[in-house]
Amino acid sequence: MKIGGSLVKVEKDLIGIKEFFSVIVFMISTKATDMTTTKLFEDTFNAAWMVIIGSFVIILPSIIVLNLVLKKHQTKNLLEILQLAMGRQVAFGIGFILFLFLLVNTSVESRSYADQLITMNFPKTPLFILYFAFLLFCLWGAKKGWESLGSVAWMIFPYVTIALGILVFLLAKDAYLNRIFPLFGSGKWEVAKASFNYVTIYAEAFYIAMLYPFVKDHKTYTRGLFGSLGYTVLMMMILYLCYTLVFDYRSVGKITYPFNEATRLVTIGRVITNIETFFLTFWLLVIIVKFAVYLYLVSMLFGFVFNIKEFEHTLIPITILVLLLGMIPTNQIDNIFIFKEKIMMFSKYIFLLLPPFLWLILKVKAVRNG
Amino acid sequence: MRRPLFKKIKTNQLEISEELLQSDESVKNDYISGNLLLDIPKIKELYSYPKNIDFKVREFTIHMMGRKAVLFFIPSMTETKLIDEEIIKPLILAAKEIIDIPSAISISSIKEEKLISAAVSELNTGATLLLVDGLNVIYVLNTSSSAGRSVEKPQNETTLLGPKESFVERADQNISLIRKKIRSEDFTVEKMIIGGRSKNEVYIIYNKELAGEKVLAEVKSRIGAVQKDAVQNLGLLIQHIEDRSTSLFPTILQTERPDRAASFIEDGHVIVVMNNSPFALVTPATFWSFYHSADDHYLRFIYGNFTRLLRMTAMFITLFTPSIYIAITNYHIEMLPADLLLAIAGAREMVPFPAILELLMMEMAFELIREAGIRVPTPIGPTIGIVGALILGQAAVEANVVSPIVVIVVALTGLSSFAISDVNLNYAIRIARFGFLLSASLFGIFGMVGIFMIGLFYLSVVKTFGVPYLAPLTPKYKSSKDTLFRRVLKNEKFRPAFVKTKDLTKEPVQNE
Repeated sequence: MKIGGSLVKVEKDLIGIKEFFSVIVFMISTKATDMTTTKLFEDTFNAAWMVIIGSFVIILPSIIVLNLVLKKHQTKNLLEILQLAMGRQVAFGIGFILFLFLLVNTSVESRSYADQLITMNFPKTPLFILYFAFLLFCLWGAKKGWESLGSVAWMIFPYVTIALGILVFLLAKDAYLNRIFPLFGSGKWEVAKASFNYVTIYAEAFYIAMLYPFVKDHKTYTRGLFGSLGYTVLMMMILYLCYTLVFDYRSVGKITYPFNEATRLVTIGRVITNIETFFLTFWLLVIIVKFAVYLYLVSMLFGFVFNIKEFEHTLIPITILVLLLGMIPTNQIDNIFIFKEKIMMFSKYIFLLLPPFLWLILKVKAVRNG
Repeated sequence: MRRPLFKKIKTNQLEISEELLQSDESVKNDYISGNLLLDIPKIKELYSYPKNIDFKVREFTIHMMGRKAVLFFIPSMTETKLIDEEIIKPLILAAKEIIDIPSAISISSIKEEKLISAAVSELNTGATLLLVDGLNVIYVLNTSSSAGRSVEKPQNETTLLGPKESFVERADQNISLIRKKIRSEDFTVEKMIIGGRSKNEVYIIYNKELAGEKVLAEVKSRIGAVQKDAVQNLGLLIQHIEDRSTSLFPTILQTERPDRAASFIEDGHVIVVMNNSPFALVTPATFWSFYHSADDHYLRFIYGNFTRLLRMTAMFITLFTPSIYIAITNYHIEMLPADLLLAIAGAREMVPFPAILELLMMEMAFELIREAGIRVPTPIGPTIGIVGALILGQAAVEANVVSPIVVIVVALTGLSSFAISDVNLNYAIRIARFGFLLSASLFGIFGMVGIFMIGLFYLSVVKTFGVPYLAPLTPKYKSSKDTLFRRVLKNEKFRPAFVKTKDLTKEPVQNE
C-alpha cells in the first residue's frame, strides 16, 4: 500500500504550514493597523514598538507550555483537553468565559474596523450598512470552512506582503532615525507596565489552539505557530517603528489612525500623490479573512460549550449577534476606551495563567494515575 | 461493456403496451437461426424495411458455396464502394470453392456474432451484416464511413508555434490524432455507451500507467450515471457530469487541440472524446488549466511567461477596469491626479446620467455587439463589429449620452477579454465583472474587495472530480509549479500530484 500511504493525501479539513502561518500572521499583525496602535501610542509614545516585543516575551512561556500540553494530546483541541483535565463543569465554565470574551472582542474589534473604514474612507456610507456588508463577507468566508480560510489566507499572503513592503519602503523617505529618541518614551516603568497590559495582542495564539486537530501534524502546528509569531512580532515592530519615525515623538500619540495616516502620507513621484486606496485594498483583504476566522472561532467555541457537533450551522446566528453587539457602542471612543479596555484588562489573566495551570493539573493527574 | 451503475438507466420503464415491448425485445434477443427465410424478416421488421429508405438489403447467391446470402447495411453510414468491391465482388466472382467466409472477403475487420441485438447495434454504427444460409452466425464487416469534414486548423485555441490541427466530429479520427502523439502500449481507450435510445458512444482515453485510479473511476461512474435517453455530444455530456452545474466557473476543460489533450494524458489526466464533438474533455481541470494556453510551453521560457503575464493582466483589466473607474470616480476621487480629475469631470459635464448607468449601458452594448458578432452569418460579421464599435461609440459620445472616458474603459475591457483564450473562463470573467461593477457602485473599493473575497472563498472549496480547484497553489501538492508562471522546461520534473498519478516524476527512461 505504498501508493495509499504516501501519495493519496487525507484532504478533509487539514491545513498545511503555509495556510496556518498566514492565518495567524493576519489575525495578529493587523493590530499594527487598527485602534490598538492608537491606545499603545497614547500610553507609551514612541516606545510602542518595544511594547510589542515586551508583551511577546511576557506571553511566550504560556504559549510554549500550551504547546507542550497540546503535544501530549495530539487529536484533541484546547477545550477538549480542558475537559479532560478539569471535568465537564469547570471546562464548561472556562469555555463559556472564553466564548464571552471572544464574542465581545469580535464585535468590539469588528465595529472598530467598521468605524475606521467610515472615518477614513467612506464618510458618507451609513455605519449599519457598511458593518452589515462587512460581516456578510466574513460570514460567507467562515461558512466555507477552516480549510478554505487557510487557503485564501495563503493565496493573498504574498501580495499583501509585497504591498506592505512597498508601504514601508515609501515611508522610509519621510523617516528620521533620530525620532526614535527618547528611547523609552514615557518611561521605562511605563513600557514595562504596558507590556504586561497588552499581552492580549497575542490572544489569538491561544484561541487558535482550538483548531489544533485541524492542522496536519504537531510539527506543522509548532513551526507554523512560532514561525508566524516571530514574523508577526517583526512586522508589527517595523510598522510601529515606521509610525514613530515618520510622525515623531509626542505627535504620534495624538494621531487616531496612524496606519491610514501613513498610507495617506506616501507618494510615488510627483504625479501619483494619493495611493491610500491601493493599500486599503490589501488591508481589506486581510481584515475580511481575519474576521472570518474570528467568526469561525466564536461559533466553534459556542458549539463546544453548548455541545453542538455541527457548529458551522450556528455561524449565521452568531454573526447576527456580533452585528447587534457591535452596534451597541455609540461611537469609537466608547467602543475602544471602555469596552475593549475592560476585555483586555480581564482576559489577559486567562491567557497568562490558564496554560501553566492546565499543565500542572495534567501533570498531577498523570503522577497520581502512575 | 456495461457497468452496474449504467444499468440504472433501465429503472424507469416507459408506458409502452406490454405486447409491443415483448415482441420488440424478443426479436432483438433472438439468436440467429441459420435459416435465411426466418432471419431476414426479423431484421427487416426491426428496421421497418420497405418504409425506411435508409436501410438496404442485398440478396445474392454465392455460387462457389451453393448457398444464398444476404447483406444488410445502412447506406448513409457505410462506404458503398467498399461493399461493392470487397464483399459482393469476391463472393460472386469467386473462382475457387469457398470454405469459410472470412477467407473469401477482403475486408480488414470481420467479427462473428450470434445474438441479433449485438449485430444490430454494430449495424447502427455503420457495419455491414452478412448472413449466409445454413450458417448460424452473422458476419459483422466494418464498412463504416459517415459524412464529416477533414482535419482543419483550430478555431478557438490558435497558437503561433504549435501544431495546426484540431479535433473533428469523428471520434475515431480524434483518437488517432491524440494517439499519434503518444506511441505507447499504455495508451488506453475505453468505450462506454450512454443514452438508452440513441446509444451514443463515449470514449475514455487515459494512460493506464499514469492516470489516477480515483479520477478514472469517478469519470466512469459519472458517465455511467447519466440518465438521459440521448446525449448527442460532449457539450451536453459535460453538463451531466460536471461537479456544480450552476457554478459560474467551469470545472471541465474543453480543448480542440489534440496536442493539448495528449499533454494532459501524459500528466495523468483522463480525456473524454465523443462522436459529433470537435473537441475533447479534460478531467480533472483546475483553474490554471483554463488560464494556460498551448503556446505557453511552445514558446521559449521568457516569451511564454510574457504571454502569461499579458493574459493575467488582461484578466485583471477585464474584471476590474470598469469597477475601478466607478469606485474611484465615486468614492476615492483623491486617488486621481488633479489634472486627470478635471479632464474626467470636463468630459462628463454634458452627460445627464450617473456614471454607473452610463457604464452599464456601454458594457451591455459591447456584450450585444459581441454576441451578435458570433451569431451573424460570417460574411457580415466584421461589418457588425465596425458599425457597432466605431459608429455607435462615436455617435453616443457626440450625442452626449456617454462620456469619451467610458468608451475608453469599455473598449479596453472588451479588447482585454479577447485575450482570455478559454471560452468558458471568458464567459465566467465577463459575467463576474458585472458583479464587481455593481458592488463598486454601492461600496467603492470595499465592495469590490468583498466580492473578490467571496469569489476567492468560493473557488477555494470548489472541487473538480475530487481535486481542489486551485491546486497545486492551495492546498499544496507536489507539482512542477506550473500555475501563474511556468518554470524552465528542464525543471518541470513532476506530474501534478493532485490527479493522484501513479508515477510522479517525469524522468526519462532512456533515450535511444
